Amino acid sequence: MKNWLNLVGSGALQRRLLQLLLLPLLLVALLNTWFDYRLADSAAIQQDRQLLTLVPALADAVRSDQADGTLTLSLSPELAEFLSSRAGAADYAILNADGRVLAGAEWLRDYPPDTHEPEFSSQELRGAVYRIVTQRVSTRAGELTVRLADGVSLRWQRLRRLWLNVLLPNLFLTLLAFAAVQWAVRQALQPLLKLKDEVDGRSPRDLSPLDEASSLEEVRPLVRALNHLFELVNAQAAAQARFVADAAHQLRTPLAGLQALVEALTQNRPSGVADEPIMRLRDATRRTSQLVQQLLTLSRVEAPGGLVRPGQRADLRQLCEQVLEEHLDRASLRRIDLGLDARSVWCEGEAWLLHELLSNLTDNALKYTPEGGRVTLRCGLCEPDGTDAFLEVEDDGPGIDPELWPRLLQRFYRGNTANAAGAVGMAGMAGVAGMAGAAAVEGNGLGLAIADEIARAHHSQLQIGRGRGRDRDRDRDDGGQGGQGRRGLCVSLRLRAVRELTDETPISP
Amino acid sequence: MRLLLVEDDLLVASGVKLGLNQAGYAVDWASSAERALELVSNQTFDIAVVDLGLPGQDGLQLTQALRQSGHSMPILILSARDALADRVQGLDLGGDDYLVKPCELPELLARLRALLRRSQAATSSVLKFGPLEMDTALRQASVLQPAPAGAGEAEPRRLQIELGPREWGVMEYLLLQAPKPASKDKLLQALTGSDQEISANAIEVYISRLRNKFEPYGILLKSIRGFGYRLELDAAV
Repeated sequence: MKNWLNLVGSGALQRRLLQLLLLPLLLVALLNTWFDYRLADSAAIQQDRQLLTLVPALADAVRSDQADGTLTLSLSPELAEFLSSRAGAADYAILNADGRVLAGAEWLRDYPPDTHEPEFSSQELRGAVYRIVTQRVSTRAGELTVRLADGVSLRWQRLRRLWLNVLLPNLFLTLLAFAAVQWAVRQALQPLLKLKDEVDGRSPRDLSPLDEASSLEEVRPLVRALNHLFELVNAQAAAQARFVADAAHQLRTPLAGLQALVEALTQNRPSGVADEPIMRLRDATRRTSQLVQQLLTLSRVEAPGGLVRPGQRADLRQLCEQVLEEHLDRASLRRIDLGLDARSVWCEGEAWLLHELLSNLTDNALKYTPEGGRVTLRCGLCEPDGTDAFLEVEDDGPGIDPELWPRLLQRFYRGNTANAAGAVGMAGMAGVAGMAGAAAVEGNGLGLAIADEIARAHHSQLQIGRGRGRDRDRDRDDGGQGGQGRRGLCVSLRLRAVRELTDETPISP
Repeated sequence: MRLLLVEDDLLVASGVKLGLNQAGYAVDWASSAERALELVSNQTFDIAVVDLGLPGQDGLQLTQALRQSGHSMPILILSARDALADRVQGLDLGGDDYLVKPCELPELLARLRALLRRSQAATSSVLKFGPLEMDTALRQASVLQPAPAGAGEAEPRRLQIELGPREWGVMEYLLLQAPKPASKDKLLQALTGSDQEISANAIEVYISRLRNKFEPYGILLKSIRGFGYRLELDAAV
C-alpha cells in the first residue's frame, strides 16, 4: 500500500504524465516547423523562377557598339519595373568571357559558368543577402554572361520568419505546457496526496476507516478499498486478541487454584528449613500467573479500536503514589529504597493504562536492581513552561548495554543484566543451579513490551537511557564508586500535559 | 478470626483455605452464594472472601444481598475478572477491597489484615499492628515484649509506652494508614490544628523520637523517600 503512495510523493506519476504530454507537443512543434520550412522553400523557388524569366529580357537589352567594344543597354519595361520595384536592392551585370563587367554593377564581377544552364547562388553584400542568377546567353554583342541579383532574399526572410514565428512560439508553448502540466498534475493529485498524508500520519494501531464522504469522487474507490482492507485487518487483529484473551482467561482459574495450593504449602514448611523444590514451584507458578495476566493486558492494549478514549486525563503524581504503595512490600523485602520525586501534573491519557505501564516499569526496576539499591519514580513537566509531562522510573542497578536497549522492548526478550551470571542462568532451566545465591529474577519479558504498547497508544514511546542520578546525594555516592558498577537504567516517556489542572482542581479519573 | 470463603472452584478453595488456616483464620467454605447466605444466617463472621464467578447467584449479587441484609463485615472480592468496570462495580456494590486471582498469599493476607484493622477501628477503640496496640479511648500505647531467651514458659508481657500528644497523633495516623504509607503532606494536615502550625522539620523530630521508642520492639517507622512514612514490622524480631 505504501509503494504507490511513495510514487506519488516522489513525483514519478508527475514525471510520467509530463513525458507523455511533452512528446506529442514536441512532435507537433517539429511538424509545424517542417511545413513552414517547406513553404519557405517553395517561395524561394518562385523567386528563382522570376529571376530566370528576366534573364532573356536582360540579354535582349544588350545593344552592341562596334566602335570601342562598349555596350549600351536598353532595358525592357518589364526589367525596368523589376529593378524599380526592388528600390535599389536589385542589381544586374553583363560580363564578358574574362568575367569583366561590361555593364551594370561592378560587384557582380565573376567568372562565367562553364555551361549554358542558368546557375543560382546567394551572396552577401553590405548586410543583405542577394539571390543571383547567372547564365551565358547569346546577345547582339555575341556570347556574354548576364547576372541578375535580387537583394530581397525571400528565402532568408522566410527562414528568419520561420525562427521568429514558428520555432520560438513553439518552444515557448512547450515551456508553458510544461509548467501547466506541473501545476495541473499537482492540483489533480491533491486528493491523493491528502489521502497519503492522512494514512501516513496514523499510528500503526489506528485502523479506523477513512472518511469516505469527504474524499473526492475519483479517490473514493481507493478510500473504499483502503477501508475494506482496514476492516479485514481489524477483524483479524480482533480475533487474535480475543483468542489470547480467552486463552489467558481460561488458564486463570486452574492457575489460581494451583497457586493458592502452592502458596499455602510454601507457608506450611517447617520454619528455618529452606524447602527448595517447593519454593521453586511457587516461583514458577507466580511467574506463570504473571505471564497469563500480562498476556491478557497485552491483548487488551492491542485490541483494535483504541483503548485510549479522547478527553481522558490522569493525575501522574497520584499514579506514582499509588504504584509506589503497591510495590513497597516487595521493595522492602529486597531492601530496595523505593522513592518518589513527583511534581503535581496532569496529562492526557487513560489512567488505568498508565497505571499498568508504570507498574510494569517499577516491577522491572525492582527485579533487576540488587538488594540495597535505589528505585525512583518521577513525574513532572519537561520544562517549567512545557507542554509535555514526563513519567519515568530510574534505578541504580547494573544497567544494560546501550546496544541492547532496542531489544528490551521486544516481547519475551529478557535482558542480560551486567551482573550476567544470575540473569543469564534464569533464561534456561539449565541455569537453575547457579541461581541459588543470585537474586532470583522472575520475569517473562513482557513487562516493557506492554509498557511500550501503552506508551504508543498514547502517541508516545518509551525512552531508555542510563540512570541520570539527578539526586545530589546520589551523585556524591557515585563519586566514591567511580560510577563503574552502578550505571542504572532510566525508562521514561513523554505525555501531553494538561496545564490548566493543578492539585487544587479535584477531578477524579 | 472467623472467615467466610465463597468460592466454587475446588482447587482454589482448598488452596486458599489451607493458606488462611495456617495464618490463623477459622475458615468456613461455601461453594455457592445460596450456601453462603445460609451460613451467614446462622453464624457471625469477621470477614468474607467472595469470588465473583459463582454458579447461580454470582458474587456481586451475593455482596449486594449481604449488605442489604445488614451484614457489615468487610468483604474482599477475589475474582478472575480484572476489568476496571468489574472492580468499580464490585466496590460500588459493597465490596471493601478487590483482588484479582491468581494472587500471592502474602498479598491476600496483608489485604485481609488491613480490612480487619479498619473494621475493628470502627467498632473498638483498640488499634493493633503486630505487637503494637493503641487504645484510642484511654490514649494508651503498649507493645508486646518478647519473652527473654531462656525464660521458658514465661508469658510475654505488655509494656506501656509513654507518648506525648504530638507523638500520639503521628503514631495513630501511621497506624490507621498501615500497611499503606502515610504521605508527609497528609500527616501534616492531620496534625495541624486551628491553633498551631506544625513544620515539616517538627514531624521529623517526632518520627525520630518514635523510632527510638518502638524500634527495639520490632516496629519500624520507615521513611519513604519523596513521599512520607510507613509502619513496618521488622522481620528479624
